[in-house]
Amino acid sequence: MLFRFSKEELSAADKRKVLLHLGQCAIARRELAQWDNFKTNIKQFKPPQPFHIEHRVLESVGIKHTLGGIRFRWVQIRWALLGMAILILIGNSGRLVDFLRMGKHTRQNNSFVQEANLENQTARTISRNHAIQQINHFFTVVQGWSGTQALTVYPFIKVFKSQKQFLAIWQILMPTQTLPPIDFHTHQVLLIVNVIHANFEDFIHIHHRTIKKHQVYFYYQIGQSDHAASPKWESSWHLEVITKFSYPVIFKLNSSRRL
Amino acid sequence: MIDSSHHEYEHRKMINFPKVQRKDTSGERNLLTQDVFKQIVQQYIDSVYTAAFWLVGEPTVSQAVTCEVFSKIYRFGSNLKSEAEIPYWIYSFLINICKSNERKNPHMSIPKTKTMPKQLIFKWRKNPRWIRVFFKEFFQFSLNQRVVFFLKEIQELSFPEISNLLGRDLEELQVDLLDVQKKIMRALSGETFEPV
Repeated sequence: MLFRFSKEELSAADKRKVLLHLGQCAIARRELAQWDNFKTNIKQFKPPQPFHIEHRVLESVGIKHTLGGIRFRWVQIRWALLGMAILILIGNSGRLVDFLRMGKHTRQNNSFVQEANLENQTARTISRNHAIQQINHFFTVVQGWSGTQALTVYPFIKVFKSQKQFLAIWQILMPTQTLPPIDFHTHQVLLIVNVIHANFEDFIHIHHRTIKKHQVYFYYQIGQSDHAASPKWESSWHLEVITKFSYPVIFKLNSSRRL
Repeated sequence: MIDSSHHEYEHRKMINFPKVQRKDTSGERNLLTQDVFKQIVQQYIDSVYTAAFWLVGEPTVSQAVTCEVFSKIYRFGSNLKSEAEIPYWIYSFLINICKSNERKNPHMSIPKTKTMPKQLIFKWRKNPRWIRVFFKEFFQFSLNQRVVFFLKEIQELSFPEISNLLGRDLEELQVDLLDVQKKIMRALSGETFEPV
């Protein structure tokens, strides 16, 4: 047919048939080529690979399969590091808040900053012994007692870092009295409570929770005072007794530095 | 009568096992030790997973299917006579599992999830458009058609082999394949095949 077509022996209708057939052939050929192209390309396709499929297969069968490789280790280490970071953040959040508040305050009160700068020299020299000296001075001069007596009679000294801590102790010791106006940012606060040596362990026994919670530090000297010798004090122990006989004293140390 | 019905019920219950221990692990006739099985897993796991993906079309489900295939191989490993049987086993297990999973009450412990994990979706979208179009079209076909297309065009098995494997007539297979080809070419008529 094609031979006859090339020699032009065909009628117009036959020619049209042949041309149609050739066109169909071309279309079919193009489709075939396209299909081959598609097939070669689709064979390159790799489906999305899940994580550690091999391990899961062996696990499903019941074979214990140790996961090796730095990738898995890195995943473990990453989670561990994240957890540690979160724990550290939670642990330090209170301190962070304190720090921020301090910073804000110092930024707002320039006069205080100037004061602090002026008194920087003295502030640096303040130590625990220095504080005790100041306390002794207070009792000898203001109250009219001797220094040794003061230390034996007032063994409970606490350095407060925030108003919350101070409130907790204050409500135990002095529930009836109003709070003194203290600025906890500008001043260090020492609370010294009259607790005689005989009843000191009882005091700890009763208030050990608050003591533990607020990390109360006790500085006291072992020795007998006049008050401790009296039998009335030894026999009875009650909060009322504390409020009656104890004498909380608040020191305002003019320094920016904590003890 | 009562005994037989009871027996049937027991049988049906027995099929629902997720994990099964092999009967004898110390037999000398047994070719499939744990080390050999690990080797087999390493060798075939990629191809089995890709095949499962071609038949199922979802990463999570196809992963479960691969687990099931290998657990079957491990379970019936004592019947394995030579290594040449393994691919045939894999094909037959794979197809049977996929078929059973398409049933209303599949006895396999394979999830019927319809959602893809997010990470995989992001990876999936990185594929060129024509691949996404193709698979969208491809998973409209029935499982039989998909199996035929996969075995013939991707795995390049011959029609007699496929008919032997599936137990179907040659003509049926050819008709299925032609249907798939026609519809896919229609769907991909305007596409340019960028490399994957």
